[in-house]
This record gives sequence, structure tokens and C-alpha cells, in this order.
Amino acid sequence: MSTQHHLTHRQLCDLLLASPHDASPQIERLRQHLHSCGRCASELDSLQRTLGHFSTATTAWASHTLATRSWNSPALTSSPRSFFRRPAIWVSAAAALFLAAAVPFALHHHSAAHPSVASIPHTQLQSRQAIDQIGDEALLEEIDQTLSSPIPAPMQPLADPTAGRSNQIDSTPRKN
Amino acid sequence: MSTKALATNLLAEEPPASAIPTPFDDLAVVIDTYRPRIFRFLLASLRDPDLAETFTQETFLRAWNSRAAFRGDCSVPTWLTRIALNLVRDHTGTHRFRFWRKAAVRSVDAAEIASFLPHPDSLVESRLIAAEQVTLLWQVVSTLSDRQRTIFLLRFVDEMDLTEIASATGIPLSTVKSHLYRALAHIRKRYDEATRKAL
Repeated sequence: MSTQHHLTHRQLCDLLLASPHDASPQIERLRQHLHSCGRCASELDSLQRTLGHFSTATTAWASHTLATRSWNSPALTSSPRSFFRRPAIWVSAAAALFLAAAVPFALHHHSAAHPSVASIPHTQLQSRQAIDQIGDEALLEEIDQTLSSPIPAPMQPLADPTAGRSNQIDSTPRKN
Repeated sequence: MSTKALATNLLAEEPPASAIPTPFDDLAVVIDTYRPRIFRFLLASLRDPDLAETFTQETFLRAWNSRAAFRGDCSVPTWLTRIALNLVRDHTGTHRFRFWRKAAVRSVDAAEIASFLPHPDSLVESRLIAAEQVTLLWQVVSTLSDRQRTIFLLRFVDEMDLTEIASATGIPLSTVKSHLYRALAHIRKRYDEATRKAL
């Protein structure tokens, strides 16, 4: 390869990707070109340096990040078998069961201590029901009357506030 | 809890899946040896330390659960990388992960990565140039396609050879090369543009 022609991108990449032990004729021919072409050698060197810096910085960053982290591995112990082997899981489950049983019992106990409708004597309850029933009947009757009347209630003439006394002449002398 | 203790717990809880010995039988050693490498790849891919750590743990969990399927056709790190890649791919397909990924890309400062570049004896000017190069490359890599970025990182961060990358990704060797050519062309183009602007 003459020095008049420079390496193509693909050839530069082949050199970049080749391992140092690669002694294939193609790679050797490209290496020979680098010895005689400063521009290609400089280009490859620049690429290698940039990629080297990138690799070094990324590795250092990863090492630093990893070092600052403790290896708490919930994932490694989260298989179903190991999950059910944890004592804390069983304790929590027992506590939840106890609460599930105790809460309804406690509520029932609480309702027994404070009498409600259920604890009112039977006769008193019957009289209350009777009052309610009468009230309902009266209300229904009133609605029936309103509906069956020829003039609806809003159209009825207003009651005379003077109770018919407006036509009479007041003969009593006024006192100023 | 130490890695060894975790591995010991896991080994105590789970009976061996098969009588055939596998490299994963000594899980503590496997984790100690390959955890930094898997974490580094996942961190470079995802740019999210929390997610990278979660996926690293998940990688070893999956490797342990499917250790009976390991036949030694590839090396242990290649197999682990394949698992890690599958995890990344699974999550890349979801909208939620896309949101996370975008958020992570925004939150990671490229200059911060460049600050990790060791310069024991170099000049200030050389340091600045190197830091600029890393910053630029970090930004350009984020613009590569998922596949190009994965292959690029496996080659230039994990330093895997091309046959290993082909094995880990399940992509033919010629396609792996094509992706690297394209990725490097994109990087060189952006690098030239940035250099011209600087001049």
C-alpha cells in the first residue's frame, strides 16, 4: 500500500478492532502502511487514545460507584422458598390473623355495651312504629286533598289579614 | 451482608439443580470475580447506578437459577453478559423504562465521568483535552442506537473480543463488525465536528 493513499475508515477500524496478537496478512499490510504514513498513524493513535480514556474513565466511575454501595441483595434471597423461611414473615402473618379475628370480636363487644335500637323494649318499639305509621298516613291524606282540590293551593286567595274589618268606619277619635 | 454470606445462604437454601458440577457451584467466587464487570457494563449501558445494581443482582440470581443450563459452550463472563443483556433488552421495551432511561441520561453529567480519569503525572493541558474527549464521547455514545451502543460498550469498555460479543449478543460476527464500523464512523464524525468548532 503506497503512502499516497490513506487508510479507509473500515481499514482504520480493522486495525482498531484487531488484537495485538493478530498477525493475519491483511492486518500486517495495514500495520506496514502506518509505519510509512504519519497521518494515518496519528489518526489511529488519536482514536485509540480517546477510546482508552473513555474506557478508563468509565471503569473508574463504575468502580467508585460500586465501592460506595453495599451489597444488599433482596433479589438473591427473594426466591419463594427462602421467602417463607423468614421468621419475620410468619410472625407478621400470625399478627395479621390475630387482628383479623380480634377486630370483629371487639366491635361486637362494643355494640353490646352501648344499647341501640335492638335493645329497646318491644312495646316501646311498637308504639314508635305506630306513630311513624300515623304520620305517614296523615301526610298521604294531605297530598291527596291538594291534588283533588279544584284550585291548587298556590292559587288559593290569600287570607284576609284584617278579618273583614276594613269596610267598617272607625269612629273612635284619634289622639295626637 | 457480605457477598460470601449471601452466596452461602443461597447455597444452603437451594439444593443443587443437577449433579453435574458447574462454575456457579461456588457462587461467592463467581460474584466476587464478575460483579464489577457486569455492574460496569450495566452502568455504562443504563447510566443509572440504582438500576445497574438491581440488574447486577438479578443477573446473578438468574445465573444461579438456570445454572443447570450452563454447558460451558461459552465462558462464564460471556454467559453472565448474555443474561445482563437480556435484562436490559426486556426493560428497554417498556415505556416506563424509556422514561427512566431518558431521566437517567439527563441526570448523569458527562463531565463528572471525565473527572474519574486518572492523570498521575500529565500536564494540565493534557488533562483538559482528555476530559473533553471523554465528555464528548460519553455524549456521542448516548446517541448511538441501542444495538450499536451495546456492542460498542462490550468492545471498548468490557474489552471483549468480537467472537465473545457475537456469542453474548447472539448476533453474527459480520453484523457485530458492521455495527462497530457504523458506531465508530458516527463517533469520528462528531469528533471531527467538535474539533473544527474548537479551532
